[in-house]
Order: sequence, then structure tokens, then C-alpha cells
Amino acid sequence: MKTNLLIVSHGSLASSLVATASLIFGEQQNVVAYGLEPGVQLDDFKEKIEAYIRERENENFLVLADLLFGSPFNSLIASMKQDNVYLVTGVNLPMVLEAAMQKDHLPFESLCDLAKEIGKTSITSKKDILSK
Amino acid sequence: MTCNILMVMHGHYAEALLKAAEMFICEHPPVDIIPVEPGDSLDELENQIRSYVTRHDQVLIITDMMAGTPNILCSRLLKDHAFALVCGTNLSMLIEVLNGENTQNPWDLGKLICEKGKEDIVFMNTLLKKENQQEE
Repeated sequence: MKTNLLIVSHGSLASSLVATASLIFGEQQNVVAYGLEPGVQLDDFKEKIEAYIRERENENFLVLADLLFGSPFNSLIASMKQDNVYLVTGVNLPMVLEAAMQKDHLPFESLCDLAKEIGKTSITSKKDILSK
Repeated sequence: MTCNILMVMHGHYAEALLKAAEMFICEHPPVDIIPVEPGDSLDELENQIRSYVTRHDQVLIITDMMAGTPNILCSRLLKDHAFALVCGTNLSMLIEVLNGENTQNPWDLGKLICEKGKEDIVFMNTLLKKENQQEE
């Protein structure tokens, strides 16, 4: 089953994450960014994402959101009732790169777990590395 | 005592991250950005970063990813300069930095935002599943 990667964020954070990832690994298929710009109605934002999901029956969706309980995150809560929509918060660049690279090679649930793990292990300060 | 914050990241990522954080925090201490674009001279970038850490005390540098050029350039300078370096920055970490917490030394601040960043990476579906099971 095809897996889509959705990055949702405040402002242009999501699109700059996707742009930076393609700078490093080249353009990726089925990786899309949704940024909530100031002044945009939350319902419109939500509808756009839901339409994307609706139009792709029998596909999987891993959503990477910028902030736990942020507005972009909140607009995904209804969609998460579907079995094929998974969500990981706290997106950073290593998470996007890893998920984009592995999405066509791993079972969907393993991919979601991996995104979370990579996100956490990629956050580190020099002291942590040296003390290992 | 205030930390000097420098973001060294690929392309427009630092700028976008800062703009997103500013949707939550209106007033914050100044943050400097050195973007790393494809085709930039690595020597020149290294000089820019070196000049920053030489001119400022109490520096915390945050980068986008460990194996990326921005982080590698900064790591090299750690040999001769004292500053705190954190990689894998996400939005909640930057918000924490801007949130008036940067009154401590950059190393403690770095540690704090690492913890915060990891804490806020959550696989929601497993979390919800667990909660549902508890309710049943």
C-alpha cells in the first residue's frame, strides 16, 4: 500500500522542511507540506488536508506535525480516527529525511515508530555524544 | 547573563522555524542566523561561524541535523572554542529557547531544550490507544 508523508506546521516551516530535505536527497514522491499561515481559517486548512486524504483511498498517511496541541496538530485529530492515518509530533529534519527515505520500504507501523525514534535520537548536544 | 543564540541550518529552515516560533512568542532576545545554501563556500561559512563564536561569549548554536554540513562545520570549531552545540532542532526547542529561559549558561540551556525536544516527540496513535485501553 502506498504511503504518503504529510508535514503540517505553523507558517512556512513545513514547506521549508520539505525543501531542505529535497536539497539533500532530491525530490521525493508523495511528500507534501501544509503550513498554517496567519489569517487563514483553521477550517479551511483542515479541509485541505482532509481532502488530500479523502482523494487517496486505500493509502497510508504518516503526518509529522510541528507541535503537540498546536493548531495544525488539532486539525488532524478527526482524521486520526481512521486506521490509515498516523501522527507523530515534534517534527525535525532528520525525521523528515528518514521517513521520506524509508516510506516505500517499511511496513507502515514500523515506519511510524522509526520516525518517532529517529526524531528523539537525533536531538542531542555535544556533551551527550562525548559521554557515550 | 544572557545566552547568544545562533541558528546554523540548511536553506530557509532556520528562518521558517523562527517565524513559526514568533507566532507564539512576540518579544524575545535577538537570534542570529547563518543559512547554509548549496554552493556556499565552506571556508567562508566556517569563518563566519568562527567570527561569531570569537566575538560573543555564552554562545548556544542550534543546527538542523547531526550529519549535515551546518553541524559538521560547527563541530570542527568546538576544538578551539567554547560554546554549546545542539542538533536536531524542532519547534518546541526553539520556543523553549525564546521563552525567556535563556538566563542560564548555554550548556544547561542546551541540555534543557534537548530534553524538551525529545519529550514533545510523541507517536499520538499509540498514546491514544493506551488511553482508550485504560478507559476500558
